[in-house]
Amino acid sequence: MKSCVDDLAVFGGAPLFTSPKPIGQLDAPDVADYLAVLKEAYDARHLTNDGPILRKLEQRLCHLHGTRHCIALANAGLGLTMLMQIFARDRRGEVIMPAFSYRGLPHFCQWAGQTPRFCDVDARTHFLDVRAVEAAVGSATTSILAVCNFNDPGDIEGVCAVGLRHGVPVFLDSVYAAGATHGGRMLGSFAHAEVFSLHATKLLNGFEGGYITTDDDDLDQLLRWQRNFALPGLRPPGPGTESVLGLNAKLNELHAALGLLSVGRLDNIIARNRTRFEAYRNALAKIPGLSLIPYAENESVNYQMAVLEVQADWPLTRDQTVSLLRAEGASISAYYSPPLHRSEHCPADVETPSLPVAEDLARKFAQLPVGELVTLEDVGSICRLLFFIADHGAVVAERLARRVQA
Amino acid sequence: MKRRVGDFAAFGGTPAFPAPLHVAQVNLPPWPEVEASFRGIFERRYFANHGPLVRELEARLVELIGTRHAVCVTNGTVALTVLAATLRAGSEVIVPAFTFPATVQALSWAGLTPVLCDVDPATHMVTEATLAPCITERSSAILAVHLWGRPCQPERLEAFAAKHGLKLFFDACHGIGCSSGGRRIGSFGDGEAFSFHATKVVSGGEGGCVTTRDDDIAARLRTIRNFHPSETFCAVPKRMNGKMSEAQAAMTLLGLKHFSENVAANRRRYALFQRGLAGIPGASLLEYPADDSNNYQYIVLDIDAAKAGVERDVFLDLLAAENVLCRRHFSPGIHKMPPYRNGVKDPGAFAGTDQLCARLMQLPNSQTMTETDVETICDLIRSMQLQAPAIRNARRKSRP
Repeated sequence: MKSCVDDLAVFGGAPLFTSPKPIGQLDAPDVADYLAVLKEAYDARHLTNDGPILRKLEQRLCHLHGTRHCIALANAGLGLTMLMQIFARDRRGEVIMPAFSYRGLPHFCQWAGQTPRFCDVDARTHFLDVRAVEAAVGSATTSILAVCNFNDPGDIEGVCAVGLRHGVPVFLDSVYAAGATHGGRMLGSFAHAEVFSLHATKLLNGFEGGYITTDDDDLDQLLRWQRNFALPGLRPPGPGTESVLGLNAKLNELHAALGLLSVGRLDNIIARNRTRFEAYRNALAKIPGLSLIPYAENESVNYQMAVLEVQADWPLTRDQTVSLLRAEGASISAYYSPPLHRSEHCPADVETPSLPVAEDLARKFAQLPVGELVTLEDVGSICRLLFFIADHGAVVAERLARRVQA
Repeated sequence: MKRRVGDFAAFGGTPAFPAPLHVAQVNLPPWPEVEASFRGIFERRYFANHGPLVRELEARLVELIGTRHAVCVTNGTVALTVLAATLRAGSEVIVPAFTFPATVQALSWAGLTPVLCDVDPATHMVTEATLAPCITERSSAILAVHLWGRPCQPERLEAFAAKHGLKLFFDACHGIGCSSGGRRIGSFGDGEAFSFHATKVVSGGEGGCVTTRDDDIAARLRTIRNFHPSETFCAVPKRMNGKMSEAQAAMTLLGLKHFSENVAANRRRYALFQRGLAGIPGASLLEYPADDSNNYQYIVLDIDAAKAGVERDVFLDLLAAENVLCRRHFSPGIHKMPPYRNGVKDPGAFAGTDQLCARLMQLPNSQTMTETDVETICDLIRSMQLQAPAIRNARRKSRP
């Protein structure tokens, strides 16, 4: 434990952690369990192209989310891109999306030939602000991408109502809210479609991977066709095929096998997340100037992330806090900062006026280490470190400022 | 040998094979090696995001191909897409109409305008003569295809592209381990895209990579394929998740380890096909140039229906009934495929492509096929040709 300010790694002390403490879930079953499933694919000599493990995975996910369809994909980013491309129906237009969100979103939209239209978000849920969407939607809008964040899926009905009024499809990036409910119903069957991830750092681990859930039969057919190059001989009979651009977005069996095992582990994953989250919350409750973004009440949540809010009475800035923890071996980063419309990820020709809520939120938060590689002891160490900083705040702040000047 | 029409499964006979034979290679390494690789991944608990096996694979590919950079990605289409995205968006890229759709789709995803050109029916690939009429002021590059792993005259195209101030890329998805003039495919032009799909000679289940000698293009490729600040090497307008996982890298590394023996097996099967199909009127097997190395993964048969007396599609139907699942790569040509057919000004300008689309078929060539399997397939084709008139009659009668 640190006994003086010099012990902090940022000032040359030994780091708290010898191996980096990540912010990803990184769940893994026993390797023997994985090899047993993989062996099925090996023996069937079927490693990709709509394999039997993938089909089983899709069925399990349909059951989990209570949806008619699940389309497994090589990753979630491709899923978001595919939906934007399909919904645009050959038009070049705008995709409405939150400004306080994942840096990939404006990129996905450009691959789909669309321009991002950034909107402000709700201060509590961080979901798209319904009034901002209403003000932004217009003839150029080809779709609305709303993001359900880890803490609270947000006003899905409000945004869907705007989309419905204007005849614009709404779809959800639910990557961080996997396993959560909204109004008591599991996410997956809201809006036109929802996109989830099977990336190793997410709740369900399929090495890399993702999936789309939808209750729309025609959209399901289009997506299945699109992910396999939209081959002319396999064209589905439903509407909308003329403007679909094909690609290879297939999930292979090596990844599907791990994803399948992960679905079976979901309850235990969430239970472990909850234990870690509560350990953080209980310890941080005693530290002035810091708190955790709370999860929605009266809903199932995944407890996947622990996001720290750095308040005005904390002695360091958010960015100083992040640097200090990083030096100690916590592989953390600022949460959604800067906001997308002020970041390098904003296309050069997109000008966005000030979005005050997104800009304010982007200054406040930092992700804390979570996931299977973070023990309760690690959580304790991080919290004790934060206690130490609280106790020596003035000195640490002054030393950091002096270092910057030097 | 099936001696009467009624012996063919399509007309009530017993199928020659109890289970389907596929074109796909599906070259699997021995299970204990797979097991050991995956145990390593789980021990390291490193599943994705530029992991140690991906780094090792990239180093191996650089060494194997003799180039400066190999950037591994999700699959061959992603490889083509990230490569295309290094170009100026909105510009035109000349690409053959005789190719797999993904070659052209990758350009569209990257915001480029594909301009389709015809191919030489003798080589199946683009030449200076088929490319030249497509060059305009808006052209930025040529995306040529090393079809069937045969080199697309890369030295000549390098000179041609340089003369016209165009970048030169290759779709090398068929071309791992192949060479041209003693130089490996992957070391030509400004960049080349490979596939490690399960159907290919080297398989990661799915997988792909881009190779380049150009440091700037490599920096762009490495940046485009992900969003991580630590893997950002230059400013690019568009990025994606195009990362290859450790699982894919593990399988691809094993595929490279067993590459020579798999190619040798392909070559043995190819020689058997050569022998078994020799002298069948109207059926000619695609040849591989002896002075270049090839991976021999594709067994491509050209059917001249006028000489064979049986149309290509009839061979396909009859063979399918025998559980010999051949493929019509590529049919239709991209110039007849939506949405690209809409942009074609002169549909008559694709005579070479149309000819190949109507005549070529790929025969199965997978790891599990025995010598007898190959001989049986050849016998089937030979007897179908021998009984061409009777087959025509039987098909006429069976039509409703």
